[in-house]
Amino acid sequence: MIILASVLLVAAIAPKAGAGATSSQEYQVKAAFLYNFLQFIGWPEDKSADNNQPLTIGIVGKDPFGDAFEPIKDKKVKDRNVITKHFESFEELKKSAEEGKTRKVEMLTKCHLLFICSSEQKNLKEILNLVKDQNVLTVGEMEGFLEAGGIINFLVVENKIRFEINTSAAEQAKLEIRSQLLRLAKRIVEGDKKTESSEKAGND
Amino acid sequence: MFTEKRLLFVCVLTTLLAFASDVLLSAQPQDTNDSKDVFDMSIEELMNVEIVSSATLTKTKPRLVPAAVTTVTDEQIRASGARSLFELLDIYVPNLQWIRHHWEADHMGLRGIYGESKYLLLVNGRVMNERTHYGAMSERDLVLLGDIHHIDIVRGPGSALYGPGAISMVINIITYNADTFKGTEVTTRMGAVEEFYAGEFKHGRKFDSNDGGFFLYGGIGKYLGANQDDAPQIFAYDFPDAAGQAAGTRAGDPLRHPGINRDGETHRNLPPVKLHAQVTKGNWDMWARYTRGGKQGVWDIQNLTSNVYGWGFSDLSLPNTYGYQQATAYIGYKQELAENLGIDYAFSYNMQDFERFIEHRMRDAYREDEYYGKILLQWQPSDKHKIAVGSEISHKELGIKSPGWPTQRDYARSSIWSPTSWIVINPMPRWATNLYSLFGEHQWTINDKWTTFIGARFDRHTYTSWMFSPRLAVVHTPTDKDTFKLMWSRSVRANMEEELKANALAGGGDSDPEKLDSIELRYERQQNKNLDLAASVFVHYNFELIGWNQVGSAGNTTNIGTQRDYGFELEASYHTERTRLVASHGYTKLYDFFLTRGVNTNITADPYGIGDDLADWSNHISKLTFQRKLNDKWTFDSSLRVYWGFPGMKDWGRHSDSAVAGFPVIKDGWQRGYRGNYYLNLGLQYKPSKNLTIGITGYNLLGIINKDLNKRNYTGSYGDYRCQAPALGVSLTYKF
Repeated sequence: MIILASVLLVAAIAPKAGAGATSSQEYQVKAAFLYNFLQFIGWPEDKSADNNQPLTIGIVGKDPFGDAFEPIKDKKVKDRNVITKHFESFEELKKSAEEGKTRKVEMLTKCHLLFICSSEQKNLKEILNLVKDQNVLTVGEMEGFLEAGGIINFLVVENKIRFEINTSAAEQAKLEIRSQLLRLAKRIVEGDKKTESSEKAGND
Repeated sequence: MFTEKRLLFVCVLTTLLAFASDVLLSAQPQDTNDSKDVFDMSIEELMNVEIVSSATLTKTKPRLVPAAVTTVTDEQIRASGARSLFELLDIYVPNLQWIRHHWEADHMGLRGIYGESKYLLLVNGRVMNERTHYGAMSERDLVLLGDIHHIDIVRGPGSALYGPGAISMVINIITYNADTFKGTEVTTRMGAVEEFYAGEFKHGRKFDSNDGGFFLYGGIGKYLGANQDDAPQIFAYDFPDAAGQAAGTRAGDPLRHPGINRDGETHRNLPPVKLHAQVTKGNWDMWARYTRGGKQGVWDIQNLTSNVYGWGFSDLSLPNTYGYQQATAYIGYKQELAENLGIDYAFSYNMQDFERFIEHRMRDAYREDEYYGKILLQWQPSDKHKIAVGSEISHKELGIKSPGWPTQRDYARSSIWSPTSWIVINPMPRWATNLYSLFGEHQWTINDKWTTFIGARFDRHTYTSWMFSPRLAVVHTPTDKDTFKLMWSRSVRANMEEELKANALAGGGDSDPEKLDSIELRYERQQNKNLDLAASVFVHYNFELIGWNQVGSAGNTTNIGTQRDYGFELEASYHTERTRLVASHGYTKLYDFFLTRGVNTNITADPYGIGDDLADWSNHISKLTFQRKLNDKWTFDSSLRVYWGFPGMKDWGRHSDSAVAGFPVIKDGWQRGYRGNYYLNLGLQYKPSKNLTIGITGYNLLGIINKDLNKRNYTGSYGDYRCQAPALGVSLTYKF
């Protein structure tokens, strides 16, 4: 009991540190998906001109990935390093902005890919609105994500990860999605049109 | 002194090896291919990865799983340096206890329920329990753990899901396969003081067609154990000076006897072996597995008091020992009838071979074969409902002669010898039994805050009436951070096959199963991204148990009464980029025990009016693991387990002191056997390159100060115990 109480005391007073929790298998796989998405997306010239700048995966909200992104430290996409940036909840970002600290919000818009955690569902439209003209590939894992204007949404079907794509939102963000990725999507939304994948789930 | 020199030599050698490797390898270009498999996969390959191994028939998110589940990953296995599944689970699983046994294999227990027939041990979802005599026998003692991807431990009863026998817990070992391991890896391990050697090889590869692959694993070891000086056996008895075994040994002094085994020494000194081969192709999954193991053990006090008072057995030239080998073949197929409808099929053959020697006599030697089939239908009629229904059949051939063991010439003096000699009925007949099962589960997602699970299972054995195991669970997620789970279940277990057969031969008809009714409330909170908390409160309010009934110097396993107990578990996990700290505390307390008329029990002295605790259980158990990444190359690992004391063991000792030998065998005022046990391990991992990992682990280090701190008690103890040796282990792993 003393040991447990000591642990809780240490945990309570320890400063919050960077993300690093051990991740579940689901989020290890989703992290790998996000890394792979970078290979299938084309950004406009002004977002991707400088090859010395890394490609940035941003995560906003209650981070479920833990240490899942550890392995990408030594990986490259299109000869560019890949880094991750974690942002607190959107509420916290707004508060900072109101206090004149706008740097974090700017950093969010500079991400190449932004994963919006489920914890941010109630702020989803605001976040998507903020980045819609900033050439950001928005990815989520919540119901209604595409309908709200998100570009790629994760699904779990029969214990396997699938994804669906909103091509209109991608167009609006001036992003080019390679056909290879479109072909693998379970569902494609083009404005009001919806196309289901012709392949059965699990038979890809 | 010699032991200390060995330790120092190994430390120096390891340090030199580590630095030499660093110097050699740092001159070479770094391998840019990361060892994490998922990031080496294409999107198509990622879409084939199956996630979520859950304690439900219907698929669900990890957060909603209606059970307390502990998962031990391959990284945790490496970090711990564990030398057996016993040690590994003892380190990581809250409220789990590992207990020695004089006559059989060591026991594991959870929440006050211990014994190898009280839990199910699975490999890749297939039950591996031996059914004739013992229960979960194989896998647990092996130092060969390199084939394991992760282990799910479902804490609490689970018959509704897994079948009869899942009383205290279910341990599901998930091996690597072609999806989770690619490449070739070699590991060598060795241990000093508690001496062992092990070599492991594994290879995984995807087919070029990308629709499957294969995984191969082979491991062999040599486990010599620790000698009497480093791992002393302690009795609570003043042996007489003149004549007899252990003459002159005083209570609390290490027993010196030429026949005492080294602690951890393998059965017949045979090398432990594990082989595993797995092929997945499309919707097919096939694997074959072979394990061989077994350990030696020190005799009970009653053996040593022979020739003094004419009781017990005289030949103690060899220790008690047990051994097993198991071969399993499994084939599974997933048929997808529609997007929301699928059927799983499984067929399997299992052979398990067991032998046991007590006081230099063969007591058990037999083989059992099982032919098993399962069909499981999973259907999701809507977003809110998931249904699973299935059926299993298991046919067992029992009392078969043991194949492949060396001949009995080592034990030629045994007076009880027959290829299938058997303690319950001698000689063991040949017979067959069947087990038919029907089961189902309904998962209802009422809304995003409420989910229910209703499940049930019916089982019918040749020698039992229908056994019914229902389960009901409600999961409530009021916020993103909080999860409440309320779980009620009944779990059942039929007696061992030999006892069922003996009862049937005696005209006893169908045997009554063991039944456990329990309720658990669990709360989980994700406090923030660094801290997770959990608490469980459980009540076993009706446990009609089957247990050992001691009758004179023999006995049988039968329905002995009703046990009622309750407890709680607290868990905390704190994690940052470089630090991981996991702590738990478990408490279990007996509150009632009704003993059936005419039987005896060694589970508690409560029915005899002495105390009110479980005899072989430490009511309070605390566990702590701490890992710190010192830099990119060095990682520090540590673990501490505390069993806070055994009041029930002391009570049972007071009750039964004269029962076995006819005279007291526990010295007046004896306390040492009932105090707490403390196991501290410290380790370092060094990764000079992406391909090479060197580990060094110090085990049970508090024993350097006082060996009693590392003691590990026996079930049915008369105050005696054997200390685990403070020891050192080294491992080298190279991935090609």
